[in-house]
Amino acid sequence: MDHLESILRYLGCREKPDNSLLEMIQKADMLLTAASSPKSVWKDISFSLTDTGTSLNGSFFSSSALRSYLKGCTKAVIFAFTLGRQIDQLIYKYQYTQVSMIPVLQACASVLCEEEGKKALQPICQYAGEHNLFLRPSFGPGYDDFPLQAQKFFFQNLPIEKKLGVELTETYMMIPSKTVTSIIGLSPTPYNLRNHKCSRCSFQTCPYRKEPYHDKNSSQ
Amino acid sequence: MIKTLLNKLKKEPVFFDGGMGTLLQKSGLAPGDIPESWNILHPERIYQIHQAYASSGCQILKSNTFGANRCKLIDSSYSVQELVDAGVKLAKKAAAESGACVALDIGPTGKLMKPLGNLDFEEAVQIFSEMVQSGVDAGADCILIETMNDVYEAKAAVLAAKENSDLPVFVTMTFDESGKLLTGGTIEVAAAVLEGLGVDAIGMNCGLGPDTMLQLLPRLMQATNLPVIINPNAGLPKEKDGETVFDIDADSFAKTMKEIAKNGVSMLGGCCGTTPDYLKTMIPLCKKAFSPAADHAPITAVTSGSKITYFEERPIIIGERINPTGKPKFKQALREKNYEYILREGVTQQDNGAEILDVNVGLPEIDEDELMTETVSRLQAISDLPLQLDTSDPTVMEHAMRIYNGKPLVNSVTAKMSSMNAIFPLIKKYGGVVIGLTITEDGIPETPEGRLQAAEIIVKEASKYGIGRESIIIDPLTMAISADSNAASITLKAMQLIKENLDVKVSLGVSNVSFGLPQRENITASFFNAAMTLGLNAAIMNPNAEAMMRTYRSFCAIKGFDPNCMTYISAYADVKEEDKKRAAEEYTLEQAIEKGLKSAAANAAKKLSSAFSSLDIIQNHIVPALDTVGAKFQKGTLFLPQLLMSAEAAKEAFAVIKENMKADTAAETKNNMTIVIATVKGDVHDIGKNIVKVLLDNYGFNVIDLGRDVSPKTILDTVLETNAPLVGLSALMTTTVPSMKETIALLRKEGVSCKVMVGGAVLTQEYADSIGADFYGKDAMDSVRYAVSLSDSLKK
Repeated sequence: MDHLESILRYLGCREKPDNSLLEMIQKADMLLTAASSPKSVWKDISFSLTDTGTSLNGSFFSSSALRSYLKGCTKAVIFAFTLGRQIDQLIYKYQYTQVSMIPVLQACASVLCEEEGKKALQPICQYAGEHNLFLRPSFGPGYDDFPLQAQKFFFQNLPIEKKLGVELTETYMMIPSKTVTSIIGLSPTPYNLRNHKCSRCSFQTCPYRKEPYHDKNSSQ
Repeated sequence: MIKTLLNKLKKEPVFFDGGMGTLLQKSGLAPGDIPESWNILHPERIYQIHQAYASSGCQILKSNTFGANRCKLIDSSYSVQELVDAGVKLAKKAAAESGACVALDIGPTGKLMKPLGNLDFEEAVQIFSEMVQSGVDAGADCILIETMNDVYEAKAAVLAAKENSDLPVFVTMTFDESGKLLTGGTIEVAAAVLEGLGVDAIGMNCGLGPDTMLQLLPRLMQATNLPVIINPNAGLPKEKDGETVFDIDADSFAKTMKEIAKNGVSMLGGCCGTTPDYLKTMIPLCKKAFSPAADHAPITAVTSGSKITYFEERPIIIGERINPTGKPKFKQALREKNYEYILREGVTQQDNGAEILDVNVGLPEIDEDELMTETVSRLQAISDLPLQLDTSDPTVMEHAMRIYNGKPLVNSVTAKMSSMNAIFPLIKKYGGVVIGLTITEDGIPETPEGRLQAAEIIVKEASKYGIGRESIIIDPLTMAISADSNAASITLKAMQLIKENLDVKVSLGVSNVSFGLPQRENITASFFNAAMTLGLNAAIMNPNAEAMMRTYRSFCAIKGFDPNCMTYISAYADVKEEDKKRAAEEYTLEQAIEKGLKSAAANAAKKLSSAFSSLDIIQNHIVPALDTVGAKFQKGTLFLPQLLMSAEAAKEAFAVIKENMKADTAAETKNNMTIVIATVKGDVHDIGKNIVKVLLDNYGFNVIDLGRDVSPKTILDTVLETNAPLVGLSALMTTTVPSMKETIALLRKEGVSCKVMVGGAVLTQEYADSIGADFYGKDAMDSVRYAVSLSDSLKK
């Protein structure tokens, strides 16, 4: 999916957008690129799979989705990425000056976060290459039955607060908002993208959902 | 001992120790463990590390107290006092043997400051104060505030240090390769703010290795005359066999640190990845290479949290519009605490070329203290411009200077003792550049020489507080030429005399010159030009006045202050805007709203106002247009940005209609149903809720927006107080929707009969039903429709 297509998808546009919207997207892209300050941290992490879940660097997670995600991997890394604080400040400013830009900025920032986040994976790709391994698509807290509470594990094991300037609130929200944390499995064989199914995703009100949700027990 | 070391800094450097955390990790500190807990659990290991650094020649040992603040100890069984006390005492024990000093080490809280995060400035001061009090009691010799990535948080820590101790205070910030903080602030911003706060030394630590710090060093040295501290990491962290290692060895580290000492850095040490070996290798090399830095001319500059504005040859425009004098609408906005109006004034001036914004919210019948601090905070959240704090009340000034993020411009002090006694202590404590008005105990001197004398009094008195000329800008006062035809030449002559004799910068509030005359801009612009030609450094004026800005931009282009005339070109090359405006006039109000054209909507509303009543225009033109747009949005043929553009256009039309409305009609047109909206406790994302608010405002509801992270109790109290029949709650995450449930449960328990509508990304109809909500809005328009139907049913 190309850049504009992704933005329009976030905006919920199923029809061809008019020129004014395209101009807003162009402006938002420009403002966000100037305001962004991408930063990332990552590290290799030990893990083991048990009958009931996964142990990551000594911390146990009962998520069955995480267990099946890591099955077949010989290594795993944990990763955190942020677009920086000025993105939130920019969006905040527009609440007072031009509220119609807010959804456009949000959509463009989400796409920028994905694109820049992918670029930040480069050193991990190199690391995987050195070990003749392939990266699996990222898997983060909040996916399927891997709870948001697992964010704490990422903050304990990576210098996210210090190097990225990101705060984890008591309700497990990350500030600034355009921040992602994930675990990335490294396996000897390339990942089959067909394993990504709508039915495994817990975002039940997603307008693009094609299949009904199956909870963790039924997906096993 | 520490004082002796500091006094010798011009002759010989002083050495901090190196990393602590990385050594503790090697000793078995597990992820998630609190490093400071080792002060009690493994005191012998902490002591050994201190001792190793002391015997390597380090003269200032950093206590193992970096994160011993109440935010980070929330899950710990130890108190701040216990860990700080034990940490400082362990370092003292090791220091005693070598004669070293101990720095109470203070790191960031880990929480983000408001408005991005939830940490209130005074709470941050309190958090750091707890550490300082314990550190002082335990016998620390100095305070090192380190690894700061936000000058605002650093300011809170410095105030805590100074208000709770007499110890020397050092601050080191963490920059990226381009010399930026995580907040976007720069080396220059940090130096200006910290120097203003009166710290004893400033510098950089962590994040970077010595090579990059050496590259950034000239900028820091240029930005301050204070002693500079450089505590780098041992290069960059690398992943090796599951372990984090640093890529620079002790010899390479020492070699670069030697260069840093040669460039005048007098306080040197290490951070992550450095060990006693690194310091042992580095210290003799640095001692030998050290060459003290030469002082340079002090800088006159003010800052926000991220931007610095220098007063140099190019005049600076200080926007004067945030001021109620002579502005009935602004006065009304202040009385109604309509911050949106005030903030718009700020943004418009910034867009038109202001580089500093004056903030004056003084009205006799309002709480100026509360309005000033609130306006400053909100303005700083949306604008990166430095502010000029403008009040005649010293208490209001102190509160504003305290919570200000950056180094402010202070408006003003006079040559009267009472004024100087009130203002100079504030400049000394909080930092800032002050505008000195040439008013003496006898009033405004009539001659240029008299105003020079007044300026001299200000400069002389300031020096008694240790406030240098770089922190003073003299305003020789513009008087109206309609009252005295020599007034302008007296002011200009005074300005010249002051510049020649006092070596200070000068500013003028230029507009006053034309008071009482027709076509005022002719005179004001001409006077402004004359003052700039004579070396005016700053003008307090209206940047929205095109004639003034035309004069200013032309002057800058002619004087070579506008490289390649880019500012001039970007302001005047685009003539298409006028054509667009003309075309806009041809739309009907409905068309303008549906297309989301703000100026067209305003023009159409103006035309309709001459023929129809306000109520007619709203009911027969605006509401139907909004309904059409809303229906298209719900059908999926029009998208959220366009829906909001229509809302903005409708708002412009409302503003025009309101101007022509009598008070009784205004009440009639308002849909009188009150709606309380909030993002629930624990949730800091309020964009969705804000969008709903914009649309509800459009439909004329009386919306009380409680903001984000709102407790169930606050929501209950507001509903009880306002008797609102509808509450709208928003939550974004699965971890915060329980607060929504809690809020509804409290409202029900207290027997409040209001309806509750809920919305948010993770909510579903099923969940909304399960927590007892009356309505689930799947999007913003859905919520508006529900509010309209509830309002209609209540009217019946």
